[in-house]
Amino acid sequence: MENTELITSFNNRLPDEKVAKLLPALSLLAEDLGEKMVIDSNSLREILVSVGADQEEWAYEELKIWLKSLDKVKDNPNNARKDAVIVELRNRGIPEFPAMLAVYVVTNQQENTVQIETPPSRVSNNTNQYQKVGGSAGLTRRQPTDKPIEQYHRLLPDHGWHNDLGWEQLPRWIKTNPKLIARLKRGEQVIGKNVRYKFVANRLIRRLRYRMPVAGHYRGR
Amino acid sequence: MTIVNLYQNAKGIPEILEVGESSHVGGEGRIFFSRDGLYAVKIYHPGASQEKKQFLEMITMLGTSLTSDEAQFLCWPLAMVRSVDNVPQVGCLMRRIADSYKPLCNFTENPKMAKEQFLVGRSWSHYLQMARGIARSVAVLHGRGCAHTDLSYFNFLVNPNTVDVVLLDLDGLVVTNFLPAQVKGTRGIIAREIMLRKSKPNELSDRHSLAVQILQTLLYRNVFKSLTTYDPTDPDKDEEIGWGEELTFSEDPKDRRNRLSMLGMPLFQGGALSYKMLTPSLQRLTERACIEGINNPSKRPSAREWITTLSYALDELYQCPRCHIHFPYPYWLKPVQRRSCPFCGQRVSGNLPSVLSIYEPKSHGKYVFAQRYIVLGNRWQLFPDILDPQRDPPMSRRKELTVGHVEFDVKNSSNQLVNDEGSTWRVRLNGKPILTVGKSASVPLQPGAMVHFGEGRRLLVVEE
Repeated sequence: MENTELITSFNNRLPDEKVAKLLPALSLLAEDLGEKMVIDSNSLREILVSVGADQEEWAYEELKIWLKSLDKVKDNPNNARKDAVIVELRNRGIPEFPAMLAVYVVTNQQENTVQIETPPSRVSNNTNQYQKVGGSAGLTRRQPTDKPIEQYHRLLPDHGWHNDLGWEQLPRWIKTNPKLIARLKRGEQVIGKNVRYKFVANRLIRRLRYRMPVAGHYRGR
Repeated sequence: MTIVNLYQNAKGIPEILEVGESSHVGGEGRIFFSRDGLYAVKIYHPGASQEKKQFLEMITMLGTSLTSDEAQFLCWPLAMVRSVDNVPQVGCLMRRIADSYKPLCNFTENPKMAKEQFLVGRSWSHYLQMARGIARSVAVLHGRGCAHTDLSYFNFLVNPNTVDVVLLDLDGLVVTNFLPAQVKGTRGIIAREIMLRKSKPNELSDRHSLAVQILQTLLYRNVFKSLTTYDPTDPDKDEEIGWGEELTFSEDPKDRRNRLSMLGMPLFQGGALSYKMLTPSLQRLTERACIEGINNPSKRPSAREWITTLSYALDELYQCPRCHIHFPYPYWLKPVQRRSCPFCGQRVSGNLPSVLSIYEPKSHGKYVFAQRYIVLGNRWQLFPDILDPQRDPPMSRRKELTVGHVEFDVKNSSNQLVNDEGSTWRVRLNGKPILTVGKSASVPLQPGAMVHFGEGRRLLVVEE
């Protein structure tokens, strides 16, 4: 049965140009899955908006196929299954390394992430329940800290959640969309082009898509 | 004595390693060699972030998918450093490359270095193979969906005897949206759009650097080197403009500002090699990379295209009877008197090689020109991959059996192609009945002759 699925997915694969256009969506999808977010059709549409492919129906259909594949490793990330999903993604035209990294992000973020369920409503002196660490097989797991919670957003080691924003700085396209506001209030992320927004400790924070700026120095002599 | 502790995230890698004193110090970190001589350890300078550690872990994980052959020419991080003398550090372990390998810049930085290699018996064909090795290592990365972003000639090591090339510095790979770029690269090989901060390093910018590196290897100069001063007061700014905004190919037909005065003159007479000495296919790739591709990255040739074209160029070489250096036989220049050695200037004369065009078999007995030529001089050999439409040229033909070879027939003053294999060839000469050529028999390579090597194989037509 699985073989039949593989063959079918291979036969229907998109042309390389379309895969290349959609490829940036793979990392977003993997991150969301890794963070155990519920991925519904709205989430997929948001991802497509952020990669500029929201008007393409083929992109939505393809993203659903990628989601279906990655979903298989979400709850049962054994090596055989990981390999099978990598093969499935590759049969969809995704190059090997992005396919491997997508599976890695889904499985390793899960293994190491303490997920934020809801944003706390007030400042407390509890130990950090809200830290979120990047997936790296235990290498970067942060130890609990007794710092007051208003500092947690600065401690988040997710290489890039930063910049406290006020409500007034919330982009207009979010402010005018009650559904997105509701999502933010539930503690979920709202994804925009090259940026994500969410609330942590009652603060609106954002994460840039390109997490690490390109260093401005040159190598060599 | 320094003890390095490693994470056990790879098979066959020791947990503890004893290393000597640091042998190299770079912008990112220090390199140590293990006492057993098998490994090199890169320790990042203090302050390397946890993110770098995570990066390294991902890259190490990606390396598990390499074949053993690929691992030979890509110096991939094998494991991560846990601590050095019990002090937590960020670093990675790599295979140690043998001392016989030297940085590419030792061979290609300028014509003087090339001349030193020629004096010890090496030829331009060795450089052609080096260029192909460079393209091969980059093609593997691009084929898997990542970019290197710093393809400088310090990051390629070459064994001058075997012409094997190894690519280093793979701990900064870019996989779009997963592993962002950490460095821009080395000035002089960076693509224009990166210099102008219009784009982030990616495969297309790598293609520019690859073209620069390949042409540096073949022509012994950076083909974008600026000869114009844009800011006399600030050398840094001047370079920034020369390698960025005003980046111009030295042989751009519409912009001659970077054109060298001795361009196209024989190298040994103080001249500079022109890309016009390369085969027509390589010339086309160069134009795509250096003229059209400057402002239009999608026009740049891929690493695979370079490999194929460089491989084909190996079949179009001719050895200069005077300086004994191989160079692409300029069959596209007519008459023959225009053809000369780009190194010593010797005119091509005497027993000229035969030039044959290659045709691909199609259905119903039809053949289509493969846009490829082969130059066969006296004692040159014909290999099976040339005749097999299913095969790409191999990286080495050392173990290949020959299909035929060429002998110069003094009596008739023509080249003869001798059949070295068992199968019978059929040859159609101008206005003559079809000849059959069995083992050890030969066929004269007269212009217009068609050599049919059997069903499903390529056809050769003698052009001159």
